[in-house]
Order: sequence, then C-alpha cells, then structure tokens
Amino acid sequence: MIHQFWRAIAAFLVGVIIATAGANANGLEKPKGTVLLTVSGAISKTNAGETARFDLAMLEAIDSTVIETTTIWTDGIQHLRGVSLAALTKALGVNSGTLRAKAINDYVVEIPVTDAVEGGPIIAYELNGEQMPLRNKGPLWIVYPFDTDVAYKSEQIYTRSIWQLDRIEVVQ
Amino acid sequence: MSNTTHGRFRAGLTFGIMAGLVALCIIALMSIRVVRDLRLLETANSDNLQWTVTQSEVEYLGMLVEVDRARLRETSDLSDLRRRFDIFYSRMATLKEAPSASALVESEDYRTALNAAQRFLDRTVPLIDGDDETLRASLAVISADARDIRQNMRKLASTGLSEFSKTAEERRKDVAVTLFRLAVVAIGLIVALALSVVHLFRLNRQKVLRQKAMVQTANRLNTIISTSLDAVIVCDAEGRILEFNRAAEIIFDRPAAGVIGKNLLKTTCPPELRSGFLDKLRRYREGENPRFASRGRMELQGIRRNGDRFPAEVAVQVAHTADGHIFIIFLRDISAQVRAETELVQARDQALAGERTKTEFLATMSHEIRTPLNGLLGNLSLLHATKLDGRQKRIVENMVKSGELLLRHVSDVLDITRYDTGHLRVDHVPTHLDRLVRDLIDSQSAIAAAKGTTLSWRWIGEPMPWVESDPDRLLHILQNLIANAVKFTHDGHVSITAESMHTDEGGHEVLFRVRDTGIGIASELRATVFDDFVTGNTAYDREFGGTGLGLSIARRFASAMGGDIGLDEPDGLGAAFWVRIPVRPTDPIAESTTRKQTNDLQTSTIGLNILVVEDNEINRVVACEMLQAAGHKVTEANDGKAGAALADRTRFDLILMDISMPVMDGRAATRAIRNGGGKSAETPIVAITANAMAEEQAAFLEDGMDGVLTKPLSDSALAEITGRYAVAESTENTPLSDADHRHQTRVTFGEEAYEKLVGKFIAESKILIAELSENGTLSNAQIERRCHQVAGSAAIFGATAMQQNLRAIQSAAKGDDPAAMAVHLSELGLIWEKTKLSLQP
Repeated sequence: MIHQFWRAIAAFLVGVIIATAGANANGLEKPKGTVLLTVSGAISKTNAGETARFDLAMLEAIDSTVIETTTIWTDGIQHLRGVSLAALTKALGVNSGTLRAKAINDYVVEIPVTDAVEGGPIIAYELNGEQMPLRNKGPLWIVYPFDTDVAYKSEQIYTRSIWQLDRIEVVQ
Repeated sequence: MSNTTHGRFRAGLTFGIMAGLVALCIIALMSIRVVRDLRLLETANSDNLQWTVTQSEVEYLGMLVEVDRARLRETSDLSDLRRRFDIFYSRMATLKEAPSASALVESEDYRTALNAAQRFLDRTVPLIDGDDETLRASLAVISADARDIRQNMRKLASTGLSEFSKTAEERRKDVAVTLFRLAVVAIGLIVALALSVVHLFRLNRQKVLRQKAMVQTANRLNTIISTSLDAVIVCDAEGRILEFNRAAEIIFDRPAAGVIGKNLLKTTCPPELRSGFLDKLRRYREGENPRFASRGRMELQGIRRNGDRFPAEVAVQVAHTADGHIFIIFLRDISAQVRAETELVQARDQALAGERTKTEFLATMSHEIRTPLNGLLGNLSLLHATKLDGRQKRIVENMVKSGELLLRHVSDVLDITRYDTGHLRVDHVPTHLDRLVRDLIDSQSAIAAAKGTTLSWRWIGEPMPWVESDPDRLLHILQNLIANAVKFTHDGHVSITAESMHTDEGGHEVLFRVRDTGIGIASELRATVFDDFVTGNTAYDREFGGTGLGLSIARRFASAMGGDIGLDEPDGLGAAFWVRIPVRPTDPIAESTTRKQTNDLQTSTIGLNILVVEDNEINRVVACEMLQAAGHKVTEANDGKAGAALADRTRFDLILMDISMPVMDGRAATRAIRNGGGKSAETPIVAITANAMAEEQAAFLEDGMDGVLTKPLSDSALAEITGRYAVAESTENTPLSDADHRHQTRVTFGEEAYEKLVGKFIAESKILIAELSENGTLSNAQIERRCHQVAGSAAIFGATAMQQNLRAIQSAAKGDDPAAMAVHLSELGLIWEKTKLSLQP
C-alpha cells in the first residue's frame, strides 16, 4: 500500500518534471529579474504569449562573448561582454529575415539576420566589467567587433550599433 | 652602329632612364598617397554627426516634455522622466566623449552650449538619482533649468550643422583630391604604359626586320648551299653528319634525312679507307693539327649508296662554333673529269702513235722508193760508162734524166711531207756562205753558159762569210732560185747578192737576192708562185721540167729556218727573188764541209781497200762497180754479220755500211766492229741509207759511224767520201792550185774585193809561217786553229797544195805528232812561195 503510493508520487513528479521540461522545450523559462530585452515576431520560442522576454541571467545563460574593440563613440579599447547575435537568433530559431531593433529612446534600426554570424555583433550587457546604466548607453548595446574587420567601420554598421536596446522584432 | 650613333644612343638611353625613374618615383609617391586615402575612405571614422547633434536636441525636448508632463500628472510614476533624462544624459555624454565629435569643440559657440548643457546635467543628476519625493518637489526647478539651456541646445544643433557641412565639404574635397591624384597616377601610368608599348612596338619592328634579314640571309645561304653543284657536308668533331646538301644527296644517292646524325665515314667513305681517316680524326681530337683540313683540295675516293666508288675532289675546312669544332667538307664528283682525262690521254697516245706511224711510213716510203731508184740510177750510170754507140748513149742519157727527175720528185714530196708533219729538222752548223754560193754557181755555170747567160755573185756591204745555219737547206733554197733564174734567162745575166743586216732584236740575218734578166713572171702568177705545184706556162714546163714544188719547198725551208722568202716588184726585165735567213755569225771551223765538191777539185786518192756491206744485190753491185771504176779495191758482204766478220779479219781503209739489212743491220754491225777490236775497228764507216731522217743520222754517228751517204749513190758522192777519208795522200799528186777555182772566186767577188782578200790572205800566211818557224811560240791548239783559218782562206783561192799542207799540220798538232808536224812544216815554205806566185794576177 505504502509502496504503491510512493510509486504514484514518483510517477507524478516525473510527469511534472517532464511537463516542465516539455514546457521549456516548447518555450523558454520565464525571466526572474528585470526584463532587459523583449523579442517578438517570427520566433520559434516564446515565454510570454508571442514574445520572448529575457533578463540578464537568461541572456548570460544563452551566451557570453567578449569583444575588445575601439569605437567611434568611446576613447580607447573597450571590453564588452554580451550575447552574440548569432547565439540569440539560434536560440530563438531565427535563420533569416530582419531584426528590427528598437531603443528606449524609440530609435529604430533594421539589422539583417545575415549579420548575426560567429565573430559578429553582440548584444553587450557589460562594458569594461560593469553593467551599463541608461545614462551610458545601457542596459544593452549592440556592438560590432569594429577592429576585427574594416567592413564593420561603415556608416551603416554604425547605425546598427544601437544602444539602449530594449526591443527586437523579428520580421521575415 | 658607328661611334657617334652609339654615343647618341647611350645619351638618349641614359636620359630616358633618368626621366623614367623620376616619373616612376612621382607615380609611386602618388600611388602611396592614393592608397592611403583610399584606405582612409574604406572606414568611416565617424557616424552621422548631424544626426547625433540634432538627436541631442530631440532628446532634450523629449526630456523637457516629460518634465512638464510629470508636473501635470498627479501620479508618482517618474520612471519615464528618469528614462528621458538618462537618454538625454547618454546623448550628451556621447557628444562629449566621441572623438569624432571633437572637431566640434573648435567652435566657441559649441563649447559654450556644451558646457551649459553639461552644467544642467550635473545639477540635475543628483535630483534624478534621488527618491521620488525629492524629484517631484524639484520638478519646477528642473523644468526651468532645462528651459534655460534651450537656446544652447539650438546653438549646439546649428554649430553641428555648420561643422557637418564643413566636414562634408572637406570630405568631398578630400575625395576630389584623392580622385584627382588617382587620375594623375592613372594617366601617368597609362602614359608610361603607352611609351613602353611604343618602345616595344619599335623593338618588335626592329626584331621583325632583323629576323627578316636573318631569314633572308639564311634563305640565301640555304639556296646557295642547296643549289651548289658541289656537295657541302657539315659534320661535328665526332664525325656525325649535321648537314647534307642537295648536291650531296645526288652524288651519294642518299636522302639527307637518312644520313643526318649518321657517321660521315661510314656513309661516304669506302671501307678500306675508313681506318686511315678515323685515325686522322682521332689525332685531331687529341690536339694535333689536322693535316687534312684547310690544306686545299685532295683527291679521294667516295662511295655511293650502292657501293660504287668514285673519284672525288675534296676540301675540308675546320670551323669553331660555340658547340665545338665542326668540319665542313666540299666535295666534287670528278669521275667525269677523270674519265675525260683518261680519254684525252688515250687520244693523245693515239695521236702520238699515229704520228709515229706516219713517221715510220715516211721512213719506209723514203727507203722503199729510193732503194730501187738507187739501183736504177746506179746501173744507168754504169751503163753510161760502158761502150755505147751514139744512139744508145742518147737513150741512156734520157733514161738518166728521167730517173733523176723522178728522184727529185720523190725528194720534193718527202721534203714537203716532212715539213708538213713537223719533222723537218734544221741544222745549226757553221757554214761558209761564200763557198756555198760559189759551188752553186759553179754547178750552174755550164748550163748558163749554154744559154748565153752569165752569173755573178757578191756581198753588199760587210761580208759575213761564216755563219751558223743549215747549209743543206740553204743550198736547196738558193739552188732552186738560181736554177730557176738560169732556166728562165736566155742571153742574160743572173746576179746573186748577199747582204748582212742587224735585226730589231739585236740578231743578224742575211738577205740573198737572185736577180735575173730573163722572161720574168706573169703578173697573174706573182701571187701564187710560192704555192705547191705552181709552175709557169705548161709549154715551158715540158721544156724546163719541174714539179712546181721547188719554190714551195724553198718557202717551207725558209720558214723552217726562221726566215722568209719573197718576190720583188719587177723593175724592167726579169724576176728578183729574195731570201732572208736569220743567222749567227760564227767562227770558221776546222773542216770545210761542202757536200757538193766540184768535180774540178781533184783529190788524189790512191786505190783504197773498201768494204761494201749491202744486202740488196743490185745496189751492192752498183756501188762496187762505181768504186772499182774509181780505182779502188772493193770487198763485198751481203749482211752485217758477214761484214763485221770481214772487218775483224782484215783492215780496210773505208767501210760503206748499208743500214737496213737482215741478220744483222748496219748499226749493230758498226757497233760490233767498233767494239770488237778487230783489224778495222778504227776504220771510217760510212752509212748508206735511203732514210734521210736527221734523228736516224744522229743515231748512226752515235753508233760509231763517221758519215752518212744517202741513196741513191752517185759518183760524186762516192768520190767525196773516198776523198775525205783517204789516209795516204802524196804531195806529188797534189796540184798547187786550182786556177779555175781562183778565176771563179775572182768573178764572184769582183776585182776589188778579190784583191783585198788576196792581200789579206798573203798577210795572214806570212804571219803564220813566221810564227810556225819559231818553235815554242804557239801551242798545239793555237797551231791547230791558225792553220785551219789559213787553210780555209787558201781553199778560197784554190791554193790546194797549201790547203792540204796546212791541214796536215793541223792534224799533226791535234794528234800531238811533232815528227809529222816537222815534216809538213818543212814543205810549207816552198809551197807558200809557189802559191804566192800563182796568186799574182
């Protein structure tokens, strides 16, 4: 009697775990901290209705890439750590299309998914070891590795280096 | 290229190079600049400044609006305000920090605005960062403060704009300059390229021209070599054939393709000669000088493809090329030439053989005809000497005349044949012209007298009595001329003159003229009178007898002697012939040898013991009869062997030896007698021959003969021979002088010359006798010579006794016989006195 009971509970727990995992496989876990980034549009994983919301931890969990480069807005070499666009799009099952990136100050720029390559741009959440406040281009800044490729030093790329990023809409 | 062109070329080249280098430097520098500019253009060193500056104003206004909204709203939600403030702050921070914006700081207005904005931010930050309460309370202040910097923000934007336009302009200018530089560089490069293209074109054209020239030359050379009729073969030092021209292909009957690369000797040289050449090649390779190369043409043998050998004329040359030595062989197939040579040689031999045959024919003819003639005439002569009645005598005389005429014909024809076949030999012996002519005149005097014609002869100018000439031929010519003159002159005069002259070349010649006052020569005959078989009127022919060959033979003889014969223009009556003969004056000789001695000159010959060796019975009998009639004792032998045997056993005074006999011929017999050491080993041997060839006669003399008689024999010839070789002469039988002879001389020379000569002769003789009387004055040789001289002179005046005496002394001196000399010397004085007397007119 007792043996059967524990077996049922174990089964139930397994079921729950599976269900949770299944729920996770189907979508993402929910953000626990402040939501920094909201991705909408043609994505395969969501965790809030049609959108996917990410907090810092979640972003850190997806990817942690470091870029060291100079920029035209800063002085000297900057250390930037963030999630690479490639990893993010991969995590969200985005292979093609355009990322419409919007900033807190309503700045909008369209970034083609083709930019999201290995060794390409990152959504930086840490500048020189510290998180960026809103006053200093934070919390998220799409930075390209300008110094690694001369092609990244173009006006178009500069416009795509959106700071104070908070929303991305994936458009096909 | 001449020196000046070369110099100019070098100067031009140097200048060109310098200019080129300078241009290249400029282009390089420019290119570097362009590249740098392009690289700069490659990257954007700033983003849209205009955007940033205007965006700063927008975000300022956004913040301002939010501040006002927050004041109006009652809610305590100030997150939007804070956000807006942060956004504005971030923008201003960017403006401050971005290096690209540093250009803006140049402008003072910008600086002022920026500083004002910065002050506002600094003041407001603590309020924003504070709690909501503090913030709400200070909203009015913030709003007022913010409004204060409104103008500054505007100014910020406008200075940004001007800066932006300036930058944009500068950038455009930069781009323009860069493009310009790029264009210059490009053009410079293009020009340089164009120049080099032009240069290359020229070089190419030069090259093409040179190539054409080379090709032309090569073609020409090729044509020369391929059209050469001589084979031209080139091979390397190992003997491998490198080139084989068309002519070689033809000669060796091998295609060039099949021969190139093969060994030369194996293909062209007969196997038996190969080793020799291989050896030579090897020695050459080892450094010896090639004896076969560069040594002119050699005659070698080549071998054709089918194994035929052929004679070849080969010349080998060595050349040094970059790849080593090569041999160039020029080869000519001379089989045709060799064949031609052989044929020529054969033809020549045939011709020579033909000549020999002709000569033999002549000799045989001569012999065959003369021998029976000899018999005929000889017997006639004997017959004439026998007792005949008048009629018989006449018949015999006619026969003799005919026979002699026949003999003359034969002799003439033989002479002509001999001359025409080039066998006529001309003697060069000392000849006494005076005597020759005088004898001739003597022989003609009877005939002339019968016709009432007189003969005279003299020298014109300085006489040149002794000359080197051919007496027989000269005699023949003069005899012909004189006989003709006498023949055609009736009751007239024939004058003969001789004149000695100098030739242009410094020699001497004698010009004889025979002038007659006879019937002359018809004008139509004048041109052809020297031709063969040309006689006068046929009527005269028969009367005078003649072959018409006399003058033509005379002409032949004259030209054989190097002279000429001709006919003078007639002036008045008769004809005038002349003969010019080149001669050499010479010393008088010991023996006076006029073959034709006049019958008046009597030689006393007591009966000699004579051996006649002759195989022909008739001729032998004739000879014997003649000799016996002359009082000699004759022994006969009918062949050489018998004759030689007889000669060995018995000592004869004279041997007459026929040449062509069976068993042993005359020459062999003579040699046998001479070498046999028999009784007649020293006896004079005279050849009797029908063969009158000079070479043969010389051969007889070499065999040991002393003289030659030609058949048919005549009394006079025999008499002369016997007289000549008579040993014993007695002075009692010697007449003192020959008056007739003297008279003839006088007539011939003319009184004046005769007296002069007599004086000379007397003077000569006196001196000689004086010298001879003193013993030891003269040497034997001198005695010989002097006696000979005077004897000759004595002969002219018919002083026969003196002549013989002097001759005897001469022989004694020659034979170094003082006893004999003394004997004759003792007689000389008396003889001289007598002679001198006889000379007085």
